[in-house]
Amino acid sequence: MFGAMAGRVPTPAVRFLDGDGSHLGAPGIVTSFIPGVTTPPVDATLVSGVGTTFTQEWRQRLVPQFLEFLTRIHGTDWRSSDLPHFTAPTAHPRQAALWQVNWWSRVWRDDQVDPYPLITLAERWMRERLPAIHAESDDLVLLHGDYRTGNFMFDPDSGRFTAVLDWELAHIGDFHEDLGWILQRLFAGPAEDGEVLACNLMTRDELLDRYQAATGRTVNPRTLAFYEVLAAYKCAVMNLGTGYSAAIRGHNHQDVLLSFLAPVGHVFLGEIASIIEREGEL
Amino acid sequence: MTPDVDVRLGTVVTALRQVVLPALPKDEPLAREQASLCIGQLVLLAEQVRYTTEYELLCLAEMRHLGSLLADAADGGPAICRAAASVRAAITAADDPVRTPRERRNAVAREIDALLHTGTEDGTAEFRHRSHALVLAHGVRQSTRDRGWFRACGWDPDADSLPSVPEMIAEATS
Repeated sequence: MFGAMAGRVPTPAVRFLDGDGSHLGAPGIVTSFIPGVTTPPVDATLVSGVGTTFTQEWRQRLVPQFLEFLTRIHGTDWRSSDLPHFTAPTAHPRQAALWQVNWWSRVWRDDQVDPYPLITLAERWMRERLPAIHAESDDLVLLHGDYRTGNFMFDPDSGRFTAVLDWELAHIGDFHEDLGWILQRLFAGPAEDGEVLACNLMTRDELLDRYQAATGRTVNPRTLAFYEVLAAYKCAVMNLGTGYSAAIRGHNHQDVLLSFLAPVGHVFLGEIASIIEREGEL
Repeated sequence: MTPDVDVRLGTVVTALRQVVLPALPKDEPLAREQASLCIGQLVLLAEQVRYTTEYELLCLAEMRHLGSLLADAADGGPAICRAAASVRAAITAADDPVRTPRERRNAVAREIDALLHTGTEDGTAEFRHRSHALVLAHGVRQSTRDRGWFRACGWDPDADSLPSVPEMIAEATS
């Protein structure tokens, strides 16, 4: 992945790669250090980028780069790139969406602690609305998978991006998926006038308009709604399932953080309910 | 009875905040972050502790009500009839005071999940439509309630629109 990004998107240098987990027990990577910050110095106490705010001046510096690098990731020619650990969902038009629903519903079954009927409903709703995308389409792109504020670093003086981080969810899929992720309500914040900004950077309309203008792709509202629910579903699963169960099992050095963050999953359940209410049953 | 749980939690928070955290070296960011998270958890617990039983009983009552409505709406083949019977049995078993309200709530919710999954294959279109509406309405109420329960965490983007913990409990018990 980092090889495919070389010269296109700033990433750390790879020092060690265990693509199949034969050395580390799970797929893993060791990279070089990169200087930079994820939040303006005044917000340096925040974790995970949630709640980060940018002044208008910072937004003017960061938004063009945020969009530029998203466009470049999505513009990667994955068909001719050396990506041996990536498989393209090209067997049938709904495979890109189906793989994601299958994967994350499996994670929920493995990791759930407290059952939530709304999560079960969301899975059923997504399975009944799987959007189609054709194998030859330019809309099937290399996705970052966790592209948002908190996952890019920049120089605190110049504002120039120094690295895009957290690539572990990267895969090949529908471009709407990254947009749905960026639009998650938890990652958003208010501008000075109270307007909601996606990733605390730009309005929803600005994101979609500028992305379409830069890529020539057309955003389908129904497909975007599907991927917004998928994004919220993933976050609910990560927080109420995987993170919470890891904290219970004492699996890492951040147990207290994971248990503190677990209830953020309820924000995502609220988001799922809101979108499904808006979109209707089918 | 003495000392009160609130007092005990409050004194621990004070000690962590005023003595332990300032004593941690500035170049130990993980330790400082972990200590801050401990304080945050304890402050949240202090707000919730007096209402925890009422809150979990409220969630249990809501789950039982949802299960009852779904079991009544169950319509389809033999598998969905069995799943509905399991929901009813879990609702009845939820009277058992030995298990915690959370355990009883989860037992009912697991059977509801099984009913919903079964309904996908063995339920009528009418059941799928009805269950969609019921679960969604419950999900709206429950997610709002859970967000209010954890409002003091400070990350909810719409925190001002959420009820406080005392407001929720007062409304549920009035």
